[in-house]
Amino acid sequence: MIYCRYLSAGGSQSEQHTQAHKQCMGLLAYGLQRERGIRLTEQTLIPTPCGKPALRDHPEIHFNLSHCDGMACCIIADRPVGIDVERVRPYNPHAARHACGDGELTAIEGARDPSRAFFCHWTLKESCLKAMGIGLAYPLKELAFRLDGKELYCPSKPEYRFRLWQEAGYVLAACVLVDPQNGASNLNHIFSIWGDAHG
Amino acid sequence: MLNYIRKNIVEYVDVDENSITESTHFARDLHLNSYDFVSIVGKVESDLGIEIPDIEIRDLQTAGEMAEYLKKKMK
Repeated sequence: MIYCRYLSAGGSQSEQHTQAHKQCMGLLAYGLQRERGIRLTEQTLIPTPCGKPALRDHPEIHFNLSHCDGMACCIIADRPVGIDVERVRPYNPHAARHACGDGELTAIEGARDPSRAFFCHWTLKESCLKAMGIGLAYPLKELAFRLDGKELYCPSKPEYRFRLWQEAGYVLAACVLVDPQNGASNLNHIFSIWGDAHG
Repeated sequence: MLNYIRKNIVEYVDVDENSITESTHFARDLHLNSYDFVSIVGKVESDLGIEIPDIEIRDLQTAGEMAEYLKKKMK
């Protein structure tokens, strides 16, 4: 399940970052208690070789955190997941040219709201990288998405499923690794949202 | 090259340019997120006419590492 919370403004950039991370951890703690009866403590989390944190005593539980200016979120699932949230604002063309292929750039520049379109593509790419647990070490242009169809799909990563929400000036994307045995059966319990953003 | 990187960083982070040293860590010290970092990378690519493959980006964790990388790339 996904947990979201709007954040109040104020403080320096560093203070906002610290506060946002604290809120993300609060959402994780709430979600773990609510879904699994697990109490989150400082000793509960351990680093993994790829840098993604994990639960020391529960390797079967996967989670990911994200925050941006004004929103914090967390996703918890029984399989590798990634989540990314961004506030919609004018996008940096340098970032777009680095991260997006020609087809995506054409779609973004031709969209009714190019900034929103860019951040949809960006958060989908980020959510996939975070689910993969490898950070910015995968060619971003190869994580290409088409947003004009019914289903969100990344041809280079068919083993992942995606969901996108657009809520009050924010874009939130979530990604989950699909069990090759069961396919994409019923991901609604993972892609449900608790909290401030309901899509 | 470090001065060039400093000038790019301060477009995204509210810090004193002179406080950025070779050992300044982009994520830990400056709290740069992936989007900010890719924006900087993209600007550098555009300014210097080079391409920085994403597979090589993960090794650029400090201002010094990026400066050294760019120096080598420009040779």
